[in-house]
Amino acid sequence: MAQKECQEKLSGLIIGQDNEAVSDALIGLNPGGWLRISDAAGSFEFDGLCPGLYTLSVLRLGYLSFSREVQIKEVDSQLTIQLSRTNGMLSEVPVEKAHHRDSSGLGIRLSENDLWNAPSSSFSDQLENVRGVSLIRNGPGIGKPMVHGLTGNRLNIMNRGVLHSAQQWGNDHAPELDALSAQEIVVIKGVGSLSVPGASNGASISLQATAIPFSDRWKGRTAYAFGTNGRSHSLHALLSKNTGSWAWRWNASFYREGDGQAPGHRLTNTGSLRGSSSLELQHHFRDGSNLELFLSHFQAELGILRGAHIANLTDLESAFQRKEPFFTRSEFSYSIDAPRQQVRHELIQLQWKRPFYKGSWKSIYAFQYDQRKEFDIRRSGRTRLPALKLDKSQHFFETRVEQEIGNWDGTFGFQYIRTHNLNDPITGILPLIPDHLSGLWALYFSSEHHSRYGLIEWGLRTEWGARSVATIGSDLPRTILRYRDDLGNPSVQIGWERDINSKHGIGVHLGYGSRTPAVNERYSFGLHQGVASLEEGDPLLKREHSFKASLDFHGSAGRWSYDFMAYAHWMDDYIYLQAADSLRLTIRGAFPVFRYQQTDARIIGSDLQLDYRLGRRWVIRSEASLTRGDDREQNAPLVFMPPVRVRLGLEYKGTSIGWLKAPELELMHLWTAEQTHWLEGQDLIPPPPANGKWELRFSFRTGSEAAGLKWGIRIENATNQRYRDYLDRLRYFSDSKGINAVVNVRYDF
Amino acid sequence: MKRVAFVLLASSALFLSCEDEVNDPPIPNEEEVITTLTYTLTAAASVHTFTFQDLDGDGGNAPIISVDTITSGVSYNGSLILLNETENPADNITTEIFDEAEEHQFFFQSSDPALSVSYSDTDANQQPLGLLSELSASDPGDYSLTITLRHEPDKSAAGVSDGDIANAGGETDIEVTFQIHVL
Repeated sequence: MAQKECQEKLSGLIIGQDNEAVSDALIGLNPGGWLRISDAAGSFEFDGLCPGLYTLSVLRLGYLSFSREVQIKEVDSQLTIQLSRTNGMLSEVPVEKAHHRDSSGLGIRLSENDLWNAPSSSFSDQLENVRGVSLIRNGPGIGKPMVHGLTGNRLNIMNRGVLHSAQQWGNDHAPELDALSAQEIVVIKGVGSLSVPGASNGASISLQATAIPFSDRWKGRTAYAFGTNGRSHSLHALLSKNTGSWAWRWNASFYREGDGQAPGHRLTNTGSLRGSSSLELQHHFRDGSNLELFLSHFQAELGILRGAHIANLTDLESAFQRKEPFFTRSEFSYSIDAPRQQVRHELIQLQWKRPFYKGSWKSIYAFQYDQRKEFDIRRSGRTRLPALKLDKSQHFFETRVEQEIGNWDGTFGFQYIRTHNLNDPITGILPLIPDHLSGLWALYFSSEHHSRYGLIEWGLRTEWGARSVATIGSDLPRTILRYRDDLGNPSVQIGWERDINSKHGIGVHLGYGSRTPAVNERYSFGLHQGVASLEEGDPLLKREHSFKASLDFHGSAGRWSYDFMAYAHWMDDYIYLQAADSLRLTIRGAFPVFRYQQTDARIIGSDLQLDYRLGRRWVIRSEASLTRGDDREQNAPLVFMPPVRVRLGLEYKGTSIGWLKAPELELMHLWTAEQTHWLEGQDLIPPPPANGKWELRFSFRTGSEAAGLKWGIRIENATNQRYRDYLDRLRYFSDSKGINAVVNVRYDF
Repeated sequence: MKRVAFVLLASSALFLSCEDEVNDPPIPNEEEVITTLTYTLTAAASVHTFTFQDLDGDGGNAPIISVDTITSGVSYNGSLILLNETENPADNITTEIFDEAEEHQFFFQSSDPALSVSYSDTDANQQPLGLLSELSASDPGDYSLTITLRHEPDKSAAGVSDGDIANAGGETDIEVTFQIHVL
């Protein structure tokens, strides 16, 4: 490509620790030896760049030098770089703010700084801040992410390149992950998702690690947070060291919360307890290869609202009549009784990467063990026995070659995943989902090409393998029925991104994938506590096929910047739970029966973002997410789709005032519409009305830079609004959480 | 480095080779299940039984319900027996309820005030339990009687000790309905 055709732009702002502009900094960009000097406002700009990977370095007397890799693509990139003063005591890891768009596949990311700004938030709560992500809740402590209306079996989570292995099928199963064990969380869409196993034609969530900062001595960070609602306490620590050839990083988190408080009543038994730790060890060889060991442990005990434990339809109907849930106690408690969940997750990962031709060759082996126990209220001391106990183990192996030849990037990979999921008969209850063993092989290839027509991406993935299932039949005497499922599925992704002019860009993506019905969809059989329904799988379900198209416009004009994305997702033989016409009579009364069925569905939606910059310190942000699901066959709405959500925010970044250093203030209004797209009979009770909540965030630093503390105050649901959330499964029983003020303090050393 | 590559390749070959079947799952011992409820009414020499039996649990075959005919103006002594007939010999669940009397209560809801049921037993806190009861019908006719067993009800809530289920809460372990023909 001729030099004159390169017209990409990289602009940015250099700021100091108090958000003050840093002028006269020397900014270098390599390869190419580009140099710029920041102006009085701290800003700089490179133009005429070719797409590709560059190293950006910043030098300024009195500040630590800074360097990072920057991917220049067909879209303008904007960076904010925060420098630390050279007093020997680094107090801030340089952070990248603003929206830095990577290849078309990558969506929106949460940086390490974002994650540590709310250290006590669970993995799912952190993700709620990402546009297009909503949460399915099961009370205050349990949340599960949903991206563009897809969740569970249709949304995979990758942890450092390894498929997170857990009981994804359950709506009340929160991911067994600690957000702080990662440095970055990204929602991946499009071509980038081809390395993700299973049909993730929708999207996937990826926890990623960044390089361990170079330092001969131990560097670290510790944080403590207290929340008023539920009187939560949390403690977090991070330690790292990188000598060049050896690098270590260790992190640990502890969280405890008691009963939550809704505006009118206490949420009895909604406490939770989480503990996690991870250790990363890297060795860099002289030839450029790299060996990495990652160990992580996660465990949690999660209480479920006591009043949500019901047995049959009569109980459910009487729960609807209640102003406050049954068993609501006025006194606060940290104790977690049945109904509760106890989960444990272990990961051992070994990664080896070496330079190979014009790129790298990487191999990963990982073993995961996941244990889930769910306890119900039972007779004769059986409450201490789990009513559900599943042990899942997974071996994951991947080897991939990445090459960068001129304007072309290519990745070729192979994966093998062996999964064993077993029930423990200690429960004394017939299992809801059967034991199974599966072996899955996959090959994938993806290609990115930067040309004068823009960035063109495409990729293919093919999977094959089998799943052996052994169910316990419902007839007497109990017999074992065996099934074998074919796991062969292909997927294809194509993407194109280009600039319309220097300020605006466009992206188009198309994807196709198929998905073998999950174990619960084909074979589940039993009672689903909490919604008083019998759930029945159907072994004859066919593959689900999905085709997705999206269109994206983004850019900036003067003080405005915007990102408008619209998508349409057609799914043939879409699998969903449908209420059967009749009730089933049992000795415990009558139960509605829900069967997994298939239809042709369509989900359309849009994520919109529009920001307006008022001078250098103020920004007005607005975001909206719209999702609508329809059953194309029966011309009826799909239930459990997120209602329209709007977020309006005003952000201020100030200069230091006395002891108050680098203050930042954010006021937000979160508005959720009523879900009106449903039909009578599709839900047990009508969706809750629209609600609007206010949130206030304030952060600042005190003390010297060397030994300063970073403070954060966050007030959620500031007006103590009484509301119920459509995607919260506890809305049948109780209101959501009321006002919660969280104070956190962080110390970097 | 070559050794690392070898280990990775060798381990991958190891799990490539074992494409097999999942083992037979152990069948859990469903000792908590209640399959059968029998409500026996006795007066002088006459004995009448009402039975609800569902041996295969939530799915499979429909439950078998058998009923009887009683006489108006007679006061019957009622007793409840709960069995788990998936076990052999059948497990008597009645004792579990009796042992945890404070955490359980039966409720008897009649379709008409002409058929009424009152409690004849109490738990250690002098609150009703319902394993033993007294039933009488003032007029001949067809009535339906729903017997409900609640686990962890709020026995002190308004009306609960008089047999009113409305404020009881708890979760339902049993809910069966019998058609009673009164001569």
